[in-house]
Order: sequence, then C-alpha cells, then structure tokens
Amino acid sequence: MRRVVLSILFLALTGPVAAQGLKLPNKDGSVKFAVIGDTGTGGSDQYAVGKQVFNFRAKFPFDFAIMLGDNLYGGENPKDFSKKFELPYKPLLDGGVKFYAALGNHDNPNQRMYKAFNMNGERYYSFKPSLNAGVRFFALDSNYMDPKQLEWLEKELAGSGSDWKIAFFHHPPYASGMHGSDEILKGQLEPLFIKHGVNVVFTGHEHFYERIKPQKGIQYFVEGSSAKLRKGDINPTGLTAFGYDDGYTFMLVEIIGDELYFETITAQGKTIDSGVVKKGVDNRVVGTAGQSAAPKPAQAAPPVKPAAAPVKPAPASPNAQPPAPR
Amino acid sequence: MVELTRALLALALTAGMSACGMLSQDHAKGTATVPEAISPEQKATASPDNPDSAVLADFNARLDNYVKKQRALLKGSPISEDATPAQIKARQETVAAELRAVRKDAKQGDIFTPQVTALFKRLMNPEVKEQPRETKQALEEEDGEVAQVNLKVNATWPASEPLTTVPANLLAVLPQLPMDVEYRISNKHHLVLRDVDANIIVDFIYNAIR
Repeated sequence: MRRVVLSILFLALTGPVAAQGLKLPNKDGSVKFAVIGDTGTGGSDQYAVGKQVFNFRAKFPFDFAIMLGDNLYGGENPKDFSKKFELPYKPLLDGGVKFYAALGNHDNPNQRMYKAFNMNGERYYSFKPSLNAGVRFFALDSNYMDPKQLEWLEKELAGSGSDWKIAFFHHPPYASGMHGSDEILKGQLEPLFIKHGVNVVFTGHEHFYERIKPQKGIQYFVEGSSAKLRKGDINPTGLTAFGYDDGYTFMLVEIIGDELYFETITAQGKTIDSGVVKKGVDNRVVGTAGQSAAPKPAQAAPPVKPAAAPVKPAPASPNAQPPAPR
Repeated sequence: MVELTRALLALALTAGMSACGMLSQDHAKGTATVPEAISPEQKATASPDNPDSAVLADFNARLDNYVKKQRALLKGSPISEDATPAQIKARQETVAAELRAVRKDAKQGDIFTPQVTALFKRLMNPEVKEQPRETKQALEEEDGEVAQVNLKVNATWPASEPLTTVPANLLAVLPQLPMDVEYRISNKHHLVLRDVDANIIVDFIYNAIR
C-alpha cells in the first residue's frame, strides 16, 4: 500500500505538467519556433524544460527550434548525444521538430556533422524556415569569429532579401550577468548587423533569461537557462528590459508580418515574459512592448507578490522602449 | 639594383614553394613531417614592406605540410551526411591515431618555430594591452572552467575542458588558418594549434598571451 501511495505521489510530482496559458497570437501560417540555450547537461532540469516545450507544442505547433550553444557539456560520446539531446527532446524529435544548433564554448566543432543539429557540416550557416516566410536565420560560431566568418556573414546578409534577419549564437554582445556584454564580439558583429538590417539576436552563455532594451534598432535576447541556471546572477543595468534568474526557461516565438511575438516560459509552464518586437519599413526594430511578471519600475503601488522571482528592470535608458501591455 | 631584383625573385620563389608545400623535407627515415627551419637566406629575402613575410611564408609552408597529411587521412575516413554520433566519434579517433602515427616524432615548435612564436606574440600582445579588460573578459569561461589542458603535441584536447573562445581581436591579427585547424587558448595564456577533425594538439606556444 505504501508503495502504491509513493508511486502515485511520484507520478504526481514528475508527471507531465500541462501547458498553461499561451499569450502568443498562434495564427495559422505564421512562422513559429522555440528557442533553447545552454541545454546539454543531461540533468533533470533539462528534461523538465524539454517536457514543457513538448507540452506547449500541443498548443503552439512550431516546426523547428534553435539551440544557442553548449549543446553538450562534458563528454561527447554517443551516449552523451543520447542523454543530453536525443532523450530530453525525444517527443519533439519524434514529432518532426527540426533543431538548428549553434556552437558554444563547450561544444566540439565536430557536432557540425551530427545530422540532428542540421548544421550541414558547417560551423556557421544560414537557413530559411520556408521559402515564402520572409525570414532568414544566421547561425554563427561566436567562439571563433575569425575574418573568414565575418566575410561570410557580410556576404550572406547582403544577399538575403529577407525582411526578418535573425542571428543566433552563443556569446551575448549585451548581457548583465557575470560575463557581461562581450565587447569585442559586439565590435565585430554590431556594425554588420546594423548595416544589413539584422533585427533580432538570440544568444546564450549567461545562465539566465534577459530581454535587452532595443539597441541601435536591434532586439537582443539572452536565453541561457534551458538546463543550467545561475541564480541571482543578473545585475540589472541600463540594458535590462527584463531579467529572470530564478528558474529554468525556454522561449516560444511567432512572426506575423512586421511583428515578432515572444513568450518566455519556465520549466513549470509559467509565462514570465511576453511581448512583441515591431520593425519599421527599413526593417529596424522600432520598439518592443513587453509584459513581464516583474513589477514595473514606474509603479508606485506595491506589486502583488509574483509567483516567480523576477529581476527588477533597470531604470529606463534614453533608447529604451517603455513596456506596455499588449 | 641587381641585388634587390635577386632578393625579390628569391622571395617570390620562397612564397611559391611554400604554397606548393615544396619546402617540406622528409628525413631519411621518413618520419619528419615539417620543413626545415627558416634559413638566413629566407630572412634576408623578406619584403622591405613586410619584414615578417619570410616568417609567415615559413609558417604557411609548415602548416600546409600538416594539412595535406591530415586531409589525406580524412579521405580515407569518409563520413556520410547522416552519420551517427558513434561514427563521428570513431572517425575522430581513427584520424587522430593515424596522425599520431604519421607524426610520431612531432614536437613543440615544429610549426610554431621560435621565429613564428616571436612574431605571434608581437602580433597579439598589443591587442591584449589595448583592450586588456575586454580580452580578459573574452577569455573568461564558466565559473572555474577555464581550460586547463596539459599541453603535449599529438595529445587529445580533453572532453572535460571547454574549448575556450578565442577573442575576435586576436583572430583578426593572427594569420588565418584553413578550416582543418584552429587556434585555441589554454590556461588563459597558451596558444594552441588544434586539429578540428581529430581533436588533437598540433603545436602550442606557452605564454603567448601576457
């Protein structure tokens, strides 16, 4: 009897948690994808996030996911690929979700040959999720930003007629954690991003979630807590629109016309940040409206105790877009 | 004037030979895998506009020699587009073992010769001095996870150690490498030439970054 009770208790604690509310428009025909970063631990938190990504797919049928590097921590033996990628995301892989990986500083570049990462043997590459989507993704190897890669990126960006140009890689040009903004990388990439109209950038490396205030017409996100977490690591700066360093997260993203909707969700299925990035006719981001679980800095009244423990946004900077409810 | 023409011709010949890998000279036993050290004549033929050209040509020749061997081995271990992790790993280990056999007498300094070492330090350290905080920041890894590799030619880069990011400002000043090899940094100071496909240490410079 005791064993039965314990089993029921165990199932109740570990069983699938149903996807909770979804804030994205979830329109037919839109470009939908998931974002996970710093995933390859093989630990229970990675599995919990993987399960929740799968749960949300039932409501939000995305076809692909981007991985922001550190896809496999430690060993890269066949059993590591299984434990740190194939098993945690098995329901997604079985459901036909394609994963597009970028390399992190813990990744052996030979991962480029692993079919399920869809890198086609290249350390950096670009892809379009569909021919008529007007979106192109650029996966970069930020561990090794040599002149050859920069030359390739410039050529690819210049030749891309896509309205949405989305770059993803491991090291964040803007972040407010222990590593901080990677100034050297920023110095190399940002001029190209601005010149060729990159609108949105996803990075990892810092083990938390952070939405940066739009910088020079570009929206930056840090999503490095899909399996690793550095609690309390965000030191909010003028860059921070919203940060969350108290739990494991992933992102869901939807693109409809000139709007990119995002929703950041915890391993427990709670939405901690959501909003929309809007771009103008010149493809530069003209503003991001976000609605987070955090108390807004301008609010005088004491906020209702949030279920999550979000990091307070920093005071607004001159180029900050005020958060507004959608 | 005649001397200058002769010097320029010699420089062109050196560069041409480097590109063709002709500078490589196997020893009688056939085990040596690198060309001879840069000669005083080569030094003397360096372009007045770029006094480092002879050293760079020598580096390129040595590197070319290595890459040719590596590519020949890779041809013998083809990999399919839908390779499994087991096949990727097996190929990496096979090529590493073959390279070790082919380069069994390889040692530190075969590619990063003293002249190349001096040049690389001279190229990198102004960058480090100019952006000390940023470069240091770029070399920082996870908590306590700075790559600590016991450097040895032909040794495997341990799976337990991160592949430390090479700051882009350093990559911008160093000679570009073919895709088969890459620079990495160990212990925040040592520059490593790493074989990408075989995951082995080809050569290294202690305290290249100060």
